[in-house]
Amino acid sequence: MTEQPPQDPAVPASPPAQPPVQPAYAPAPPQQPAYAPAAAPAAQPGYGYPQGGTPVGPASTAPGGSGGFFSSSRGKTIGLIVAGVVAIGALGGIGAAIFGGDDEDAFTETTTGGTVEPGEEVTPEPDGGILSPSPIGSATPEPSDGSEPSPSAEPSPLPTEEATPTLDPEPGSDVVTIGNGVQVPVLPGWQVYGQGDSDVLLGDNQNSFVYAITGTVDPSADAASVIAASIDSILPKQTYTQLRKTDIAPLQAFGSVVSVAAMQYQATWTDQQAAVPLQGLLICAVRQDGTALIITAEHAPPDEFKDSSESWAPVVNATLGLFGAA
Amino acid sequence: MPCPTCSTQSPEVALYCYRCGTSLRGSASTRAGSYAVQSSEGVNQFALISTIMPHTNRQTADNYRWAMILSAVLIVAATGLGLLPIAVAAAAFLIPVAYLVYIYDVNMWEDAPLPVVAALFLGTGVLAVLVTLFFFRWVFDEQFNSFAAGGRVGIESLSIPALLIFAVVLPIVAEVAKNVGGVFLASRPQFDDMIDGLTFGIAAGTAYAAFETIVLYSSVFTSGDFRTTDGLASWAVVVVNLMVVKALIYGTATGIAVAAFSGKGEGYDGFTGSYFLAFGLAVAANIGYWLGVRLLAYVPFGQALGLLWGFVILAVLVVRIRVMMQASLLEAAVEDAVRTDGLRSKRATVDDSYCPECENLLLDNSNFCMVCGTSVRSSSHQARRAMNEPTAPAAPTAGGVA
Repeated sequence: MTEQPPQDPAVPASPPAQPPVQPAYAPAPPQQPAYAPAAAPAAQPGYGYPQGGTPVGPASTAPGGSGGFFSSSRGKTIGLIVAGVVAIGALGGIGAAIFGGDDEDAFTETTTGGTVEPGEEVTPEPDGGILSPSPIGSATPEPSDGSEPSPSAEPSPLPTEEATPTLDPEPGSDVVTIGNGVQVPVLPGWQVYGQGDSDVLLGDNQNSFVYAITGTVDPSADAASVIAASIDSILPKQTYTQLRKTDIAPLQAFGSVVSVAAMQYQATWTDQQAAVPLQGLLICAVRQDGTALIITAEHAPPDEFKDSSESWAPVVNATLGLFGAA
Repeated sequence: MPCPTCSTQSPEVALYCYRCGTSLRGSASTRAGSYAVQSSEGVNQFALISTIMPHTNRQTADNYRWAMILSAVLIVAATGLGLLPIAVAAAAFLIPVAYLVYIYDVNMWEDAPLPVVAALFLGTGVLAVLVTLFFFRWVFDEQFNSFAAGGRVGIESLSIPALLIFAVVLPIVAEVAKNVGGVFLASRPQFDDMIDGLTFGIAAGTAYAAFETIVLYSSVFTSGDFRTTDGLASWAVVVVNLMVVKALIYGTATGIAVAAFSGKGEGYDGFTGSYFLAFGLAVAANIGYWLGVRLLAYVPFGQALGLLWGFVILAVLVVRIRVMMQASLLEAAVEDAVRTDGLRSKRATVDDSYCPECENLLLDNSNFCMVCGTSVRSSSHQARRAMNEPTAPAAPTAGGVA
């Protein structure tokens, strides 16, 4: 590391221990340094003349090397840090094994519990997933007369064969019009968070959000295939991670709607600041004029999704009712 | 050879004034090219280890560098395998674990390891959990969830109140919480050096980041999917952010504030104007970081751009720390060198000892190594203790305190 000093560093040639009485700017003792500088070494490694200037031969080295000024050796330092990180990672894994794993049950329960059997034509495939096929708006083809806004008496994401999409929003509520003239009602307690040319986002200040987007497709297109084709846009993978979704199930058409399908999903919305677990319902309706509407209702956290339907189901119902009535 | 700054007579072979650190062989820019904490590096160099771990020397800095690289590789591999609970937990605590080992390694906690660990890691961790739950779960959860829901609509859906809450108010409150433990320790007589303040501030900031991360990403521990197969690219960006950028931005920003609390001279300065300026800088850095992250989330590749933005903020903070430490160490040394009251700085060497950086002899009453120019204040506490004992030269033992 450094070459041997020309003299024992423990016995300084001229120890500057006691500086003389100093003037105002206290010059240090004018003695030679404690070590006797060696003749400029020709091939001195790193230490000793760091600026490439006049080489200063290190006269001595600290016994034991500079590593003696630290509590850990190289191996110990690296080992402690890596072992610590691995141990904490293992704790994270153990925590996940203990606290995780029940989401799937909750997901299933939420989407199946209390299901009223749907009509034959909308019965899902026997093994077609856990989604009940007519979550909201499994309406009779004829919308109600509109005199009484009639979301399900007990709003729920669960299908009610008699459920009727609300044609008109509640009195006093606004209606937002997006592309293709599609109207989305803003019910009391809800507000518009953002609106584009063909989409709109509503929120209820209670962690429920309804997002609606419209476009034009082939009128013969099946709503399920529209969902399949749009899923990556509606639930982008870069933010909707850990996505788990039910199979896409067809629902009973109503009014001018010729095809309806729906699915439910759970995901973790992820960004640099936080991750938010959420559950959502996605419905696609295709009208006979080729206008398609995809509407999602999301709530965080997932275990409150079922209860939150009391808030968002009327919005979804009313939107589908208006869409089918056009 | 007289020093042009403090007139101290240095040996002819000296490259630096051993009292005030002035370069004796070049211009003032020569000193600017040699960081007082680690002289082989420039002041304006983005050198992470010597900045956040100022008591290391070149050799031991390599130990931390390799340990963190190895750990980071393992964490990224876990992310790639979709083992998010493992990856997120390990990423959150990589820097705090490394820092805890560092504090032990350089004996930062002197003879009081329990209070130091409790104040910096546990106390700050509890505050982090409370503040995070308050903002993200108890009071403003709806506002934050609007970020999630609004991503598809675009920046038109950006809620200004939510932005102010999570990118302005939260960083202010969090910075107060991060400062508590560091300031408490920096006001203790044995920890009143500016480098101690910097170290404690960084430790508290990284601990805050770790506990905040665990709360904010707790869903990965409760998810039904132990192993994730989709969205891994996003998670890789997030994990790198949690592991490096967020932790170090929090740490370095708080380090600047607590270092200003310590002040450059003897004793600690306390809540002076300098402290509040530094605190403001720390808050501004956090606000700038989170504002950038939130706004970039609405553009394509927003997460990756947010990560890059974080690196920019981190680079600014790192250079700021180095400039601050350089100025403070040199100014304090000059003030010490020209003092006329005959008192000796408790931070200067007593008798001859060895420079932990280059292993050359340090003269009695040195503030700097006259060969490599490294400040003796950046030595480990074991080395400092040896330097301050009048039994020269110090002979460090193989296993610990000399």
